[in-house]
Amino acid sequence: MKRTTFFRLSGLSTFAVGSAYLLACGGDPNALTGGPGTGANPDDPNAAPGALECSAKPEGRAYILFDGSRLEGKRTNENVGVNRARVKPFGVLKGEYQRVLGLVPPSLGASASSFDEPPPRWFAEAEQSGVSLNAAFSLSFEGCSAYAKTRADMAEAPTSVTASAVCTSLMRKAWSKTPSVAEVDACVMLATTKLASEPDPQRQWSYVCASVLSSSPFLTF
Amino acid sequence: MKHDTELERRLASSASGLTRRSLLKALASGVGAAAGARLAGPLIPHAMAAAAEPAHFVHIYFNGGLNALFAGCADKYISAGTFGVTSTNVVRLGANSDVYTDKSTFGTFAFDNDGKPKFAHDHWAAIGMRHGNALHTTPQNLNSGGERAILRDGGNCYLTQLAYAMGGDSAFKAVYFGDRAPAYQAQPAFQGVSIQRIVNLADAITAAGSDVPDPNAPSRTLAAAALESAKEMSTRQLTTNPGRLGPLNEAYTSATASLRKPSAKPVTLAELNAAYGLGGKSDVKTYASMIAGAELMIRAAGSNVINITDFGLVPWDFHQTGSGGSQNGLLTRQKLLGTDYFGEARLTPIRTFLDRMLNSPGRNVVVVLSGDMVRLNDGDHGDGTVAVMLGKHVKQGVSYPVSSQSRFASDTPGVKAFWASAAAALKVPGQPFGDNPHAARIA
Repeated sequence: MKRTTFFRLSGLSTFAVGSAYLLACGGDPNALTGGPGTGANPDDPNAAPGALECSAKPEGRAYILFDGSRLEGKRTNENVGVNRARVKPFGVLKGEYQRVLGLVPPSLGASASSFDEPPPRWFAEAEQSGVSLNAAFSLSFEGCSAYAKTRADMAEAPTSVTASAVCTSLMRKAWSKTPSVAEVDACVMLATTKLASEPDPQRQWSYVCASVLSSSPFLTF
Repeated sequence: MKHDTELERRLASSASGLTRRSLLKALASGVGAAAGARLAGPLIPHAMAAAAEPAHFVHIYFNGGLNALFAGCADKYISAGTFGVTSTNVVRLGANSDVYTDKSTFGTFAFDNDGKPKFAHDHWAAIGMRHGNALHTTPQNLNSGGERAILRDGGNCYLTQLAYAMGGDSAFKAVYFGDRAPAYQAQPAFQGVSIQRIVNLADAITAAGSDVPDPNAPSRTLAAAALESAKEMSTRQLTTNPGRLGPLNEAYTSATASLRKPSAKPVTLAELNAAYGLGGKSDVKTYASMIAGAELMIRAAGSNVINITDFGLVPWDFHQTGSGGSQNGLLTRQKLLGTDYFGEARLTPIRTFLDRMLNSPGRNVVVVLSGDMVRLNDGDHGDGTVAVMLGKHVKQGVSYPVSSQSRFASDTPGVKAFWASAAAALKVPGQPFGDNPHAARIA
C-alpha cells in the first residue's frame, strides 16, 4: 500500500514538474490548437495543392529503429487541419436535423441499418457509400419538404436574390461556418437553373435544402 | 463482428484477441484515412471496351481458409482418409473427371437432389494458386497474409483493377459485402473505379432505381442535380480531406451517376426475401442477405465485381484435431450446413444464388469460391489456395491441384495468374493481368 502511494505521489510530482516545464517552454499559445501558424491555410478555397503538406519543419527528434530505418520516415506529410474531417454517425443525425430544420424526418427512426449503426456501447467509424449517400439525401428531402411548408419565403419559386439569401442562411446554419462565394454560387445555380423542370416551388426549395444537407460540411464534423 | 454461436465466437477468439466488428472497422477506416488521396470518380471514361455481354465477377471468400477437398481435390485424400474423406462422402463430377468434391456440401452445387448434373457440373474449374503466404491477413497483420496476397497487386487492388478492366457503365462497378473491408482496409480505387460497401438491400434497390416510383420521393434526375451541387459545395472540404473523405467523394460521383441512369429492371425485396429467406429484413446482417445482395447488385446495378467476406475474424480457420486427425473437413462441412454448433447455413444461399444466376440468359456470371489458404493434412495453413471457379465459359477440370499432402507443386502459378484466368472467363478484352496459365480451363 505504501509502495503504491509512493509511486502515485512520485508520478504526480513528475507530472507537475513536466507540466511546469512545458508551460514555461510553450511560447506559442496556439501550439496545441492551431499548430505553428505558418504557411498556407489548408481551408483556403484558393490554396495551392501544396497547402496540404507541411509548411514548417516539425519539432521533435529522429529515432533510428532496429532495422536502420527512421521512425519518422513513414510519417504522413500533411499540414495542420488537413484530413481531420469525420463522417457524422447515425446517432447524431436526429439532433442535427432538429438543429437545422427544427424537425426530424419521420423515416429517420427506422433508418439505422442504412448507415450501419453499431450496436449500443460499440464504436465504428462512420462511412458513406453511394448507396448510403442516396439514402441520406432521401431523408433530407423528406425533412426539407416538411420544412419548406413552414417557410413563407419558400412558397414562391427561387430567384437569384431569394436563393442567395436562403442558401447563405441555410449553409451557415447547417455547416456552422460561413460559406464561400463559390459555395453559395453552387447552391444558387441549383435553385435557379438546374431545378427548372420542377413546377412546385416548395419541392424546388426542398431539393435545395436537401442538397445543402447532403454536402460534406453538414455530413461531417 | 457477429458470431452465430458461442463456438464460433470462441474459435474466432482463439485466433486473436480482437473479435469486435466495430474495432476492425475503426482500424480499417483509420488505415484507409491514411492511405492518401483518392479523388477521382468511378466513371472516368477509359479505353477498355466492355465484354460482349454483361459480365459479373462474384468472389465468395471464406476467410480463414477453404480445404482443397471442397474445391475439387477430394480424391487426393481418399486413400489415407485425410480430413475424414472416404470414397462415399465425396463425389466425382463425371466418369472421366478429375474434379472430386465433398458430396453433401459443394457437391450439391453440381448435382440436384435426384443426382442429375446442374449447370455448375460442367463449368467447374479448380484453380490452384500458390501465393506463398501461410499467414492470415488480420488487423494485426495488415501488410501480410493470404487475403492480402490474393487481393493486392502492389499498391493496387485486383478487385478494382478487374472492375475497371471489365468496363461498362455501372455506377457501382465494384462493391463488397461483409463486416469489414477486403483485407481489412479501405482498398485503393483504380483509374477512378472504387469499391464501395453495401449495408442495406432496400437502399441499394432505391439507389439503382429498381423500386416502384414514389410520387412524393425526389425525382431521380433532380436528385442527381442536387447531389452534384452538394459535391460542388463540398469541394473545399473534400480537397482538404483527401484521405478522410475519399470514400465520400467517390460516393457523390457514384450516387449521381446511378441516379442519372435509367431505372433498372424491377428487383423487389419481396422476391429476394422469398428466394433467400431473409426474414423480411433488408439490412445486411446475415450471410443470406450478402448472397442475395450479390444477385441484387448484378440485376439492378450491373456491378462488375462483388466481393463477399464472411462475418468475423477468420471464421473458417479450423485447426482442431481429434482421434481421426484434423477435423478441418468436419467443421467446415458443419459450418456450411449450419449444423451442430454453427448457426446460419452458408451452403443454402450460395446454392440458391448459383441456381438462379450462374446460367442467367444474356449475362456472363463468374463465381469464385476460395479461402486465403488450403489446409495442410494436420489442419495447419498451406501457402496457397485452390479456388472453385464457375462460369459459362469455364471448362470442368483441375488446374494445378494440391498433392495428397496438400502441397502445391513448385510450378504452381501465383496470384496474378489466377486473376488472369478470371479475366479470361469474364471475356475481358486483352490480358490485363498477363498470360493465363490456366487457359485449358477456359472455353
